[in-house]
Amino acid sequence: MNAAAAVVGVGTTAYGALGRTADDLAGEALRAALGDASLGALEVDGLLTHRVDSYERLAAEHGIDPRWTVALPPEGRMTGPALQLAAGALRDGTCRTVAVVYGNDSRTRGATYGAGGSGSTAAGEGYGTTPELAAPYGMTSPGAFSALMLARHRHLHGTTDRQLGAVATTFRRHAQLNPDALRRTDMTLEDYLVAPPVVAPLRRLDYCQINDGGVALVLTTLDRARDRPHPPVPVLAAAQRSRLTGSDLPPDDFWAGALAEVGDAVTRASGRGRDAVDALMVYDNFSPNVLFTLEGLGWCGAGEGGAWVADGRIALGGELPCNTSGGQLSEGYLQGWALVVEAVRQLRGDCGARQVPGARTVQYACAAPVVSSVLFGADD
Amino acid sequence: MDVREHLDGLRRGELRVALCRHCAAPSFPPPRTCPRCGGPDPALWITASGRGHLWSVAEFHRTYLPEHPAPYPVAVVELDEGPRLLSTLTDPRTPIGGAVIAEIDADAEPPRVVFRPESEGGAP
Repeated sequence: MNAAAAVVGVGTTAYGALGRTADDLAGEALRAALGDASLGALEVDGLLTHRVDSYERLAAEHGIDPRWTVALPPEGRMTGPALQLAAGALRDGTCRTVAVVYGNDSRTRGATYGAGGSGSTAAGEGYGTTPELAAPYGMTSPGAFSALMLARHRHLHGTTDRQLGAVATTFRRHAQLNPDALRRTDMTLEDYLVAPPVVAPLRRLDYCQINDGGVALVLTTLDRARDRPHPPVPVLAAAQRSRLTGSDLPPDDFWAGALAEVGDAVTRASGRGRDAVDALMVYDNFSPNVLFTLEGLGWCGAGEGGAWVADGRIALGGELPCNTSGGQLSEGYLQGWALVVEAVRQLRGDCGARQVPGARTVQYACAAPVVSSVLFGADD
Repeated sequence: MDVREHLDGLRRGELRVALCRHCAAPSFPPPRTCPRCGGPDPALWITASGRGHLWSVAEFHRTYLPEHPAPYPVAVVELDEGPRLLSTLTDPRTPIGGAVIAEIDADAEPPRVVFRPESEGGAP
């Protein structure tokens, strides 16, 4: 293994409707992650913040004066790039210890991802880069974008409601094994099928739930990582490929080309093939993205995602357990960060009833206008 | 991106979209650089025939904004000339892949283009 960076600490807050600011939640997660790594704030020389209101206030409040500071915009598509950046700063010697800190208070602020606000995440009055072409038609939400993709996928490939329902119901069963998950009540396929539509063909149970929460990770170089209390979780490889041109409309290929590129990049760079992947943490802001990601990464052919997930392959005990925490659909929507934490916990062997036995390689992937993937491994 | 030509066209009852003047690829909304050929300021505005097919459609069942009460369909239409655009449908049951034709509501504010199934009545 030639990984240069490893996760040595993770910290999470409660998730849900918390009535606290993003920076307060981010700070709590940061302190928890430092505690998990048994490191002090003064040892942090790299700071990457995501969705916090003020990286300046966060650093000042927590005694961090890094030699490298990056603040990323709030879209969840930035989570993979954040890890790629942090690993790069450690690999090239810029930093010795990087704190990656995320805070989200969108539930408390009343974000709807469909009305008000601005930018592609808030969606404002019109979705995308040219709202004046979207707003007159009531195209307001990222969920509608996913619904347009699903409708197209159904037209081309015959993907059925029952097939897609396997995503939400499987992740709900996983969430029932995760005490931190927000949605843990029983959900059968029949429950899924009678759930009301939000933007058809998507049902409410195809949507993640907006909530507050904070997540932080501490990464250091692999040699230092081996001195920390927990087994290090090396970042084996990270890659991204944008599909930003034309991104106001759904991509013809459901992002398959970009997904194949990042999937190949991380398996090639790590020396571990796709068959070595023991679990996949897939960005499930909306459940169709799981199908698109599996197809793009090559777990099945184009258009075969529905059939592939329908018979237990993505469940614990299946061929490729996905989102063992319950994912964003059932654990909570932390814009990929809770999925990253789950990858780390799987590789530490800390997942209890939902542990993937002997997990050695766990992949994170996000299908979005910035497609990304990160491969994590157990230390050799 | 600068879509004033499109919106001004709708106010005149014309469906104005753009192709790349360098490589002829669809170029709508018009970027400052064509992502296909790299050519600068590619927008060559044309008046589309209004004929196309439904690429995809989703139906809002939640009202996000008071001016758009649910339910209503949001469509992606691919014009015969190549460009795709967001729009809505006179008939939400229009099948994906089905031929559609534009009707322009020039008096709406903002002006809109709506698509109806080609098989329905009305002037072509």
